[in-house]
Formats: sequence, C-alpha cells, structure tokens
Amino acid sequence: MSTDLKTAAQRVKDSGQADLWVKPSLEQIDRHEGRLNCLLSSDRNDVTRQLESLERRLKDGGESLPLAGVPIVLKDNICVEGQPTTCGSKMLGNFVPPYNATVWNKLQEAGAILVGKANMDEFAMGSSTENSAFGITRNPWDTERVPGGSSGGSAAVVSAGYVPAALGSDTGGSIRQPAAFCGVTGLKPTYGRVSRFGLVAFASSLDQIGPLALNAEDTALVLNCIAGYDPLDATSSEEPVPADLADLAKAPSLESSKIAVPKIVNELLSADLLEHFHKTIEEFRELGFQVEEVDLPYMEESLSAYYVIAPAEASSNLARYDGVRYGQRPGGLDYENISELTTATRSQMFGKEVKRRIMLGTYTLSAGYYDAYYNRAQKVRTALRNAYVSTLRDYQAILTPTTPGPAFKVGEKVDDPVAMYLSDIFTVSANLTGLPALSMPSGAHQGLPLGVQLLGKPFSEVSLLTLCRDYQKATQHHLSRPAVYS
Amino acid sequence: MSTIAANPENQTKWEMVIGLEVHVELHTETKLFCSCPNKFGAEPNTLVCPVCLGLPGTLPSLNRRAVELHLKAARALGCQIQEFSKFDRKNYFYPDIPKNFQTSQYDLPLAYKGWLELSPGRVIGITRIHLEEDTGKSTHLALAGNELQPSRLGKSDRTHIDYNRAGVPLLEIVSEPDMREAEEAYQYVDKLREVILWLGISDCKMEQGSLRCDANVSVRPLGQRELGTKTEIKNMNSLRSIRDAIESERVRQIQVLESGGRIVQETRGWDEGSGTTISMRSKEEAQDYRYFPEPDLPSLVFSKEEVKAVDDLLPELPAARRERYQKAFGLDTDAVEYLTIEPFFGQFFESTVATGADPVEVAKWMANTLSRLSNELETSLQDSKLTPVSLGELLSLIASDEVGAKSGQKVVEVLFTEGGDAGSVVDKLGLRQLSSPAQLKPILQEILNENPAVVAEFKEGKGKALNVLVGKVMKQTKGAANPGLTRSLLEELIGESI
Repeated sequence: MSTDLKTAAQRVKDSGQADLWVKPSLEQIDRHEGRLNCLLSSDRNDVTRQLESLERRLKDGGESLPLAGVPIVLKDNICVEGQPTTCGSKMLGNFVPPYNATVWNKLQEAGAILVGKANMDEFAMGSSTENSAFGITRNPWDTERVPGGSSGGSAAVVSAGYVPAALGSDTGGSIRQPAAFCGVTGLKPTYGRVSRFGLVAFASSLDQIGPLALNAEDTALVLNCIAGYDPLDATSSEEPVPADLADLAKAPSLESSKIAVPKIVNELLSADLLEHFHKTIEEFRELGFQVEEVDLPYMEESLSAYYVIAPAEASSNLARYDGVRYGQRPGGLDYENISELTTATRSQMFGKEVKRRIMLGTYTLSAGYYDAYYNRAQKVRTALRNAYVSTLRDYQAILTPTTPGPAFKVGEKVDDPVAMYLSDIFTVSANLTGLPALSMPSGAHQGLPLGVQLLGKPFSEVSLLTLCRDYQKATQHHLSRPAVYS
Repeated sequence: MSTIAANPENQTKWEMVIGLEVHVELHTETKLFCSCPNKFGAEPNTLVCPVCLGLPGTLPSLNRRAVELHLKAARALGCQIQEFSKFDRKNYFYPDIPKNFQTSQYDLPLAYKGWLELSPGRVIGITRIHLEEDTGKSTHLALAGNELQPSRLGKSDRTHIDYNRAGVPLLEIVSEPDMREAEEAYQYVDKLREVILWLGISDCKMEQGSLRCDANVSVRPLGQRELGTKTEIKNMNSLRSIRDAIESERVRQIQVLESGGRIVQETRGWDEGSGTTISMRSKEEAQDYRYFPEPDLPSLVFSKEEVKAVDDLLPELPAARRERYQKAFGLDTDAVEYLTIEPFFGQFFESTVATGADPVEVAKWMANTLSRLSNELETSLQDSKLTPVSLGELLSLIASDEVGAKSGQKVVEVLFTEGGDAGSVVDKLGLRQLSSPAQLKPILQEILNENPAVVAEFKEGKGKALNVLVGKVMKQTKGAANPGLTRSLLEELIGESI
C-alpha cells in the first residue's frame, strides 16, 4: 500500500471494494511470514466475515469509516472476542476472550479489518520478542536480529509491509523501542488517553496502548480512532480528543519552538551513535527549531524505579493465572492440594523472564522491603514527573535517542537481563511520568534503522506528531524500507 | 457450652479484651466493580461477568452508590471522613478470589475514628470503616460413599466455588479493643445491626452471611495495661454464638494461663456443637498480603461540603429518637424501644399523635394491639390498611366514650385488614356506645321491671346483684351500653324507686 491511510480509506469507499488493501496485505503475509514469524494468529475466515460486514456498511454509505478497508494487526495482548489472545504465553495458549478490547471496538467502527495478531514478549515483558512462548520474530531489516519488544510483532508487520498500521502496548518502551529497531513511527499516548479495557495487564499504572505506522499522519489518524474516555476504564481521561488528530496535515507548524536535549545523553551513547544523534539535532535546527541541552535529573534512577514498580504490579496482575482457570495442568488432577496445583501450573506455563519479574515484584512488595523498594520507587516517580513537567514548561518537547543502539542480534542479550533492561533507559521515563512520547526513524547505522524519541506535555500528542510531521516532510529517513517491503 | 469453668477464686483476677471486625454486605443493585446484580440465593455462578470473574484485560469501574452508602454508615457511626483515600490490593492466593487479590482499603480507609454507644455512658470506639469487594463462596465437600457431604476445612475431597458473591460491596467495620465482656460484644453487634438496618443499607442477615463477625480476644491480669496475646475467633453465625464463643474463649485462655501455658496467636473457629473454639491456623503460617495502591482505580476525594451533604440527608438514628420520644412524649423505655424497632414505626407513631391522639395511648396500642395483629395476620404495619388518621379517629372515639375500649379492638382489626375510617367501621359493626342517659334510661327501666327479685337483693345490700343487672343490660344492648354510665344510672333508678 503505497499511500497514506486517509487516501487509502477514501479509495476503498470510492471503489466500494472492501478488500482493496486487505487482499495484498494477506498476500504479503503469506509471502514472508514463514521467515519472519510476526503473527501468532491470522484467522482468514474471520477476515472474510469482516469484509462482508464492511461491504454492507459501504453500500449503506451512511458512515464516515475513516479506516475503511485498512488492514490492521493487534498485539496479542489486546482482546478480540472469539480470537485467541495468548499474550505470547503458554498460560493463555488456549484463552479466547468473550469480549472485545475497547480499542478494537473503535477500530472496527472506523472500518478497519483485523488480519492478524502480533507476536510479543510473554505478557509484554521483554525488549526483543525473544520471550514469546511461540517462537522468535525476526527483524525485517536483518533476520539475524531482533525486532525489539515487547511489541516486536506489531513493529515488524508495519516494517515488512504486511499492514500500514498496527497497535502495540507500551509499559516501558514496548512500542517505541521496536518502532526504532524496525524503522517505523510509534507513539505511546499520555496515560489515560486510550482505554486499557481489554488490554491484558502487565503493569496497570504504566501500560498504554498506542499505534505504530509509517509516518506521523497515519499514526495520528489511528490514534484519533482509538483515543477517548471509556467508562469501562476508570483511569481513562475525559480530556477531549483534539480535532487536529483526524487531519494532522492541517495542524499549524510548530517551527521555531524550543526542544530540549538532556545532557546525560552524551554519557550514555557510544561515539558513533552520538555523532548520529547530533546529526538529527542539526536537522531539527535546520528546520528552524531551537535545540538546547538541559539538565534533566533522575534518568538513571528512573530505570531502577521502573524495574521495581513494573514487576510489583505485574506480580499482582499475573496472580490470577493460578492453574484453576487458565493454562494446562501438567499433572492432570493428581495434586495433593490447591497450592501444589498452582505451583506446578505456574512453574511450567510461565517463561523465565515472567517468573523472574513475578519474583522481583513479590519481593519488593513484601513486608519489611516495601518502604525500601516500592515506596522509594514511587518517590522517584514523583520527583521525575516534577522534573519533566518543569522542563516542559520551557520546551515544546524533549528529544533523545529512542534506544542506546540499533537492533541487536538474536540471542545476544537473552542471558544478560540487566543489559536487556538498560536498552529501556530512554523510554521508561514516559511511562513513569505518564507523558506522551513517540519514536520516529532518524536514519541508519550500519544498515540498521535508528530512532529518536520526542516526549511532550500531558495530552500534547498533536504537538509531538506535528513535530514528527515537519521532520518527516524535510527528511527521508521514514521512507527507507527493508528489502522484504514491496 | 464448655462445662469446665476457671477456678472461681481466680475469676476476678483476669480481664478480657475484645475487639470486633464486622463485615456488612451493602444492599446495592449491582456489584462494586461491575454491573452484575447483587442478589442472594441465585443458582451458583449465574450472577457473574468477565469483570467480577477477573478475566484477563478486564478492569473495575467503581459503583458510586456503594461509596454513598459507605459514607452514610460512616457518618451515622460518628466517623471522620478521609479527605483523600484510595483503594489497595490485598494479595493472596485462594481460589474464591478470582484475581488472587482483593481490592480493599489499607492505610487510608475512607472512614476512621467513630463510635457506638451500647448504653448511656458505655461507648465503644470504631477504629475504621473501609469498603472492599466480597470474595466468592467456597463449599468444601467430602465423599461419603458416592455422596458428597459438607466437610470441615482441610478434610475435603472437593471444593465448589460460587462466584455470585465475588465483587459484592462489603463494609469492614473494625472496633477498638474496648469491650470487656462477651455480653458487650453481643450488644455491640446488636446495636451496629440496628443502625445499619435503620439506614437501609444492608439486610444484615447473619444466617445468609450479609453480616459476618470475627472477634479478637485476649485476657490479661486485672490492672495490667499491656494487652495479652490475642486469638481471632471465626465461624460465629448468630448473635448468640458471638457471645458464647467469646465467653468460651475467655475461659479457655484463663485455663491455659493458670496452668502455666501461654496463648498462641492463632485463628480459632467456633464449633457450635462442642461449644468450644478449635484451632484453625496459627499466625506463623500467616499471610503477607503485600498491599499496594490499586492502580486501576482513581483515588477518592471528599470535600467537607460533600461530607456535610451526607450529614444533612442522614435520618434521625434510633438512639436519638428514643431520647426525644422519652422527653417530648413522656414514654417509658419499653415504649420507645418498640417504636424504634424500625423507622416506619416512629413515622406512624408521630403521624397518629399529630391527629391529636394521646402519645402514651398511641404507643400502647402500637406495642400491644397492632404488634399482636401484625404477628397473627403476618402483615407488617406498613403493609396493613390501617392509617395514622383512622387510628387517631378511633382513639378519639374511645376517649370520648363513644366506643368502648374492648370494641375498639374489633374496630382496629377491621381497619388493619380492610381499611376505611374508624367512625363508619364502628357504625357498621354497631359498636357505638349508648352513652346518653336519655337513650339508656328506658332500657334500664325495662330491665328493672323485668327483674324485681334481683333489684330486691341489691336493696338488701348484696352489691353483686348490680353486676347481674349490668350484664342483662349489656346482653340487651349487645354490648353497646356504656358500662360505667349504666352502673350509675341503675343505682340512681333503684334509689329513686325506694
């Protein structure tokens, strides 16, 4: 699909041909999926049913259908009624939810067609999609490399040209980091901007669903469809969704506004990657933006705070998978008591990383450790938010690299969890503070895409996407495609 | 009951300390975090949805009505309201909590520092009242042959879980360790129940589990400030069992201490059959609940104005109403106790008094006649056809001697079952008293003429003879003659005839 989403949907409406984009999408999936393993399911009968329904709606002609006939992929932790929702875990290997996530209800209303559900790190815990119980997803730019994670499948399907847009979830960078690794644009909205109802929880106070696409305008259009208050999610915001999201092209340019770059970035990047980042800064300056270095405290502490809070919440959220209702019972019913059954199920159905984080979280919430870990992490969180909000009073956005480096090789970091965690250093702040942040392609390093992150004030998605749009207007980075894309 | 008593000489040496945790299910239309009906007695697992079953991806949405009822109870029990409070997760694995955590309140409960008066001058402190979701209900069964029968915990072959109760809004009301006798614990729960029922926020049925009570019991040498080691008593399913269990536990603890033992901090279950408490689990195996703030729900914030709005809508509570009735109407203790059994009684009473009836008489009629009718006919006063206006009218007819007190009983029964106004019912039944000498005299004269022998007896000084004559008048008038007037007129007529 070589056009923007708005035009694509319009063509479907004009032609009345519901499968105009879905057909090539399915063909592209069939061509490359054997090698890339981006999807955990792709129910073709269901696609046919969705297309029939869309055809009827197109004939009725009464609806606006901003995503008419647009093929879309959802991360496999987003519930779709009647479709498996595995979260990349054996524990939910046979779980079929009897309800839709609010985001899928909204995308369906907009006319989108679900063509598959994306692979992910188990329960969204990971930065490489290697923690999936159902195989590794390959980076479309280099199949020896990971696509990032945890929304690795969602980033890879956009990068590989399966679909023009996908949804992921972002708890500590899980949309932005794979977007950077796969050379696409990905946005983590402000906490509360998008309903979490139907998103299988990892860390409830950090999780947020967001779009991945090929450019700022498409990202905005998808966000516009899924954003807004939802009575089923008490943490969703009643803040109105700005009209500019639906048509980002018309949003006024923010040229000459100020952008902050935290000084600490200089210490965290290798020389060649730092050089690359400075090129990006120059590109912004050439566009007329004032880019200034600032002191932004707590970035290093934020990683520690994140790895206390996220596992703590996860240990509680994942407690429901106890062998009574989910997963399989490895020993049938041959258990002395309920505790044995639960232990056996959890030991065998959860992967290594999930178990590691459940143990971490259980520990930090325990009596005697709570104040030293969880409480202190919450204090860091408050201090971090104050520091960010204060900086953002003077600057339109905070610019950093999305990751310390490009996609790493499969297997390179699986045995070194701390090295894996360090790749989240630039991204976790947005989750801890609840602020919106996007990643966009900023060129390549040794043939692999790199990304930069723009982080902004609460509910400033339009501003961030406008900055991204203006940057993409002036540069070509977001137009680079891997060979598999065609 | 336990038959072994502690050494009587040592009885006064020990003081018991009791604190109670009472759970009350709020009577809302729907559950706390979803729109499933909140109802008792439905087929197991029929009142459930993805939210209260804790299916992956579902989220709680708070039932504001439950919070309103919580505030109402809190203010009625004299509690302070936390301006900023929040929900927390209490984490523990048990199959009857679908998410393996219970959403509750930990360090910032909505309400704290309240009180409840057991009797004038005897006040029990309330530490806190918080809102939480109820769990499902486990039924433990054991195989006896091929049959499944209820079994004791830990001895079961099967456990059946009913999630209908999961997510029902539950108030936990924690008292201070202020009670010293089992009887006080009984009174505390009884008074608490009265207030909750009065507010109409729960049906408080212990047998259905909508009111549940756990007791923390310890003993210490009289005069010692430091508390003794406590045990927690569960499984008390009636007010009486609360009293009996606590008393039995007091005796047990004193025996243990007097025989040189020490009390183990543990949970004990009340066994109605043996009349003793039985160890269930010791605190060493106790859970670490790993509380932390519930991230799926925003915090609760209440301004002073909002709290005042709750106060303004609070009804007069039973204790205050009793005091007012005694002062304003001169009623005795029994009467005011009766009139505050339920809010409607007081309304009925006051409306009847407003028609001009004598308050003492109204109270007497309500506590005696109406209470009896209500029981006999199995119809509550509220559901009966009797209105304050018709009762007031009847009482005024009685006061003016137009209806006899006995006839009044017949009239009120008709008013209770069929309604209508008192005057017409009196006339329909022909119960209006003959109360004027002009109406009575011809009838009396006739009786005197017919019974010269009796008249003669009376004249000879046999006072009882007059009763015979009154009886005959009553028979003649079918009870409508005013008895007092009849007596004096008969005496007058006989006197004239001398």
